[in-house]
Amino acid sequence: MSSALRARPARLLALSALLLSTGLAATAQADGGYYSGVKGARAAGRAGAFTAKADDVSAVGINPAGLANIGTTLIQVGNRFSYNEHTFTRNPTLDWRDTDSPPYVTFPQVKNSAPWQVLDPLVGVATNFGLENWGFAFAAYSPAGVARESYSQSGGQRYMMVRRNAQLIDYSVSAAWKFKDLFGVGASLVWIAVPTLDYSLVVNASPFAGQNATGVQGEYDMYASVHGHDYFTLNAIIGGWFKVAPFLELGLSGQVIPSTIETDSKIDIAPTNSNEPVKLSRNGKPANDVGLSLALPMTFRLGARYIHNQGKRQLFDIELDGVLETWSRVKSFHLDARDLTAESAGETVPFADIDVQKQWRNTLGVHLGGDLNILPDQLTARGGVYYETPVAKPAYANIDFADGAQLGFALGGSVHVSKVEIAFAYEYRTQPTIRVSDANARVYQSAPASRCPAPYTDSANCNANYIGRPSAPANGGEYFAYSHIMSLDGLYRF
Amino acid sequence: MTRFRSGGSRRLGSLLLAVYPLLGGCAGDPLPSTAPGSVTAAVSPNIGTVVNVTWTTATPTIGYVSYGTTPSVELTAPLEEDALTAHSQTLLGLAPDTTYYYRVTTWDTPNVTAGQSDVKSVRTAPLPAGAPELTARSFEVLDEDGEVEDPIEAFVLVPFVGKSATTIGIVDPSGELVWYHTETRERRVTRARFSHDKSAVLYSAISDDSPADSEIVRVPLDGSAATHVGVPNLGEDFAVLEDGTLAALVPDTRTVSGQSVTGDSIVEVAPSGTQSEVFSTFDCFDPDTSPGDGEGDGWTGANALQVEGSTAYYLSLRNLSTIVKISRDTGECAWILGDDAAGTLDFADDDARFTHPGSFYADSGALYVLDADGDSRGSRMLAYDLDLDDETATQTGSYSASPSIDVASQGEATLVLGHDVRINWSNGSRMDVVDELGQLKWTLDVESGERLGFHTSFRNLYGIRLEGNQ
Repeated sequence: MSSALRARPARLLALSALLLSTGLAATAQADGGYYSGVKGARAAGRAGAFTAKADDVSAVGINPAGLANIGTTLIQVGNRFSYNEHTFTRNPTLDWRDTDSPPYVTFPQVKNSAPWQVLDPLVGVATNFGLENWGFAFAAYSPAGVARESYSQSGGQRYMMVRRNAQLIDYSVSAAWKFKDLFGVGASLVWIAVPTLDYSLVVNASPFAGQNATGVQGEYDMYASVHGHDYFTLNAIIGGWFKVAPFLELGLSGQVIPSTIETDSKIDIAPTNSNEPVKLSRNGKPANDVGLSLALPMTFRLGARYIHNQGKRQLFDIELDGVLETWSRVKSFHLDARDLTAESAGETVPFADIDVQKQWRNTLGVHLGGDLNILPDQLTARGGVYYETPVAKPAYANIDFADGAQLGFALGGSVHVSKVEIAFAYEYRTQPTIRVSDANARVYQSAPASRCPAPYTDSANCNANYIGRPSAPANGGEYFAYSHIMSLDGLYRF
Repeated sequence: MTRFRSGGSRRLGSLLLAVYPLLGGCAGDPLPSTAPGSVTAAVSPNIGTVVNVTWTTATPTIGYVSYGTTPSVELTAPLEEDALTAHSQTLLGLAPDTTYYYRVTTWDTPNVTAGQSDVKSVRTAPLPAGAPELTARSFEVLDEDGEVEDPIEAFVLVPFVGKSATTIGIVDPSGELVWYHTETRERRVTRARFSHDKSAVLYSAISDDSPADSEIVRVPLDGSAATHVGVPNLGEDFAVLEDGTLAALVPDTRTVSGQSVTGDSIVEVAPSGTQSEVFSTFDCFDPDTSPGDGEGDGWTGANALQVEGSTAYYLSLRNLSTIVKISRDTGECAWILGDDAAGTLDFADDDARFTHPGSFYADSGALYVLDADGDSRGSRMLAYDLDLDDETATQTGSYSASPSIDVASQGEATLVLGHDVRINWSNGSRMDVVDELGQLKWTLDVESGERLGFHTSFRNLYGIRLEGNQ
């Protein structure tokens, strides 16, 4: 290996410069969050059906074993541009501040006010260092996802979420080896950095009996904003492929470490209805540090790829992938208040932990896609479709992530000019409309100072109109989401 | 600028959704049918200003009706207390011959789900022929600090006694007759009150030809059929106790010194119909020492009765120029105020005294009474502070109508809100509300000339809150 390194100083220099620039860009502009779609224009153009093919830098996150098939040095620089719409119309409810004749309140539709995501990069280098059966890669990328969603602080979604900004950067180092062209294995070691994880919502902070639920607006509504980071979480991806026949390949990979992002965060609390400040303290001393934990799923991919050759040239291929993601690890977004106490307007109350209920389920995605070589070594067209099962039951639907079933299609292509390949893809991804009745809604207004204990039937302390519920349902309504995603990658092989 | 339009994206999405069912997907959680169904409104066949709204819900819910003369339905009837699937609510306070819009709102507590109907409309019926013609006027007055006093918001329930029929009506602050029931029998109607549960109007229907057939009639506010309770020999007034027991004045004739003397007694009519006497004027007064000035209409001439909670009665004795408080438990007279030998309270020096009291408002500290005889300005309202420790009644105010009115009978003075007083001029076909400074704030003229019986002043057509005693 060392001789190979010495033999290609120019390549090493280029690799180092790329990784440096990627790191800076990603830190400043990276996006992430829980995933949607796939990174890499070639993979995206096939609607993610890439587990068996996996022949560019994006293999580091999909199936690192594919790196052994690159057979040269590849510099890949790309970016996703996306427009991510997410709408929610909360169910009408009654405003029980008027107990004699509570008004029937309807809520206008709210939309993500930060739908554009313009910098969503993938930068990496793959090379075999002159070793015929090996492949190595260094890459930095933001996981495919919607980094930011922002809504009005007075919108119908405010008890679920107001703003989220999750910037994740994966730094990956990978290695792969193959046995002839029969099978190969590979692994990526992934360092997940979360420079920013912000999450805010409106909570009902009333400490008074019977005010554990304020369906429309409460006198003690507070805007709670959590800002945090977690610079190091380790993960790993392993993979393999097996050429069953000249026309059939199988791919298999998995993200195998059950990681959890644990942020060091600060929480700020501000009343929505007054200018009365809220002082947070712990043991009599000012404090606002909290912990926020988000579990990451393990991921398993299995792909079967059919290759149709015409003579010695590949005419087209088609691949069918199944992707299992263990989102059932995510039970809630848990904010550990660490025994904080809140004081406002002369009232001092314990500030309890906040759990945004998720109860997510494992998901299964089916991706079908392929490439068609229209002009050999000059022009390739690709396309695909996919379906992913919903991560959340409707009862736990939330505006923070598009958590229903996902449908999508992708179209793309590559133009080859000498050693450069320009790959592009357009993907349309949608979450069909989800309707959640308030009867079935299970994401409740957070009431950290509530006096109403489980099972929420204490008539002396629980709101009579919400008996049996910890608070007012926050997520009943109608959801719809879609994304237009453009990917553009440049690949340079030498 | 948003380049991608939602509509286009939805069309794009619809292509994908066309195959979605094939994948066994579920696009969410069908919303339950929470909107109230079969929402209808019907004008009561008996009272053209009463509308009954009915609706159904798939699950037990509580709900209420919003209504008004515009589609914005700015008024509301009260929220139901019990969760039901078949609902009915009566709209009160409606003007006659007017289109009302209404809408039903529901709440399913177990499912924390709201529902609401579309806005519909219904038209009330015109008032029947012979209904009293009323004119109300409000006057802006200033209090002692120069601030504009609150306007009159109280309703009044009062019999309009005509020559051939009596209309028992509820009049709103604007002078609109918003509820009515007509007594067409040859019965003398002296008093109208609310039932203890405030669901019905009660009025006295005295048969002068056959006193034993006298009765108290009960007319539900929702306009359903009237019923009655027989009260033989029913006198001028009755009252309603908190438990629904009726207390009525009836004559009590005894032989005193060899002569037949007709005093008055209070009998209670339990909800079961059982009657029992709890007080007789013979218990506290002696015809020999308190002869009174009755001439042919009985000795004591009791003409107005009030009950304070369930513990005491107040009774005005016209012929003895006296008002008396009676313990309900013992039947004893707690105090007696008036120009009679039996009196236990004294008027302060030089204070005006009532000669022939009509109906009144009394509590442990104040007394407002219509003095039929009055003075040179005609009948008047007299107000007193009562000092029971000092056994003194001190006059705090008086008011006479302008032009003057001489009340023959049935006049009344009751407390409204705060220190306002409602004065019923009875055969003067007029009712006034004056403030504690004696300023006229509101007046109602019965243009059609009916005499007014004893009234009940109250607030809130729903959840009726009485002003004064029952």
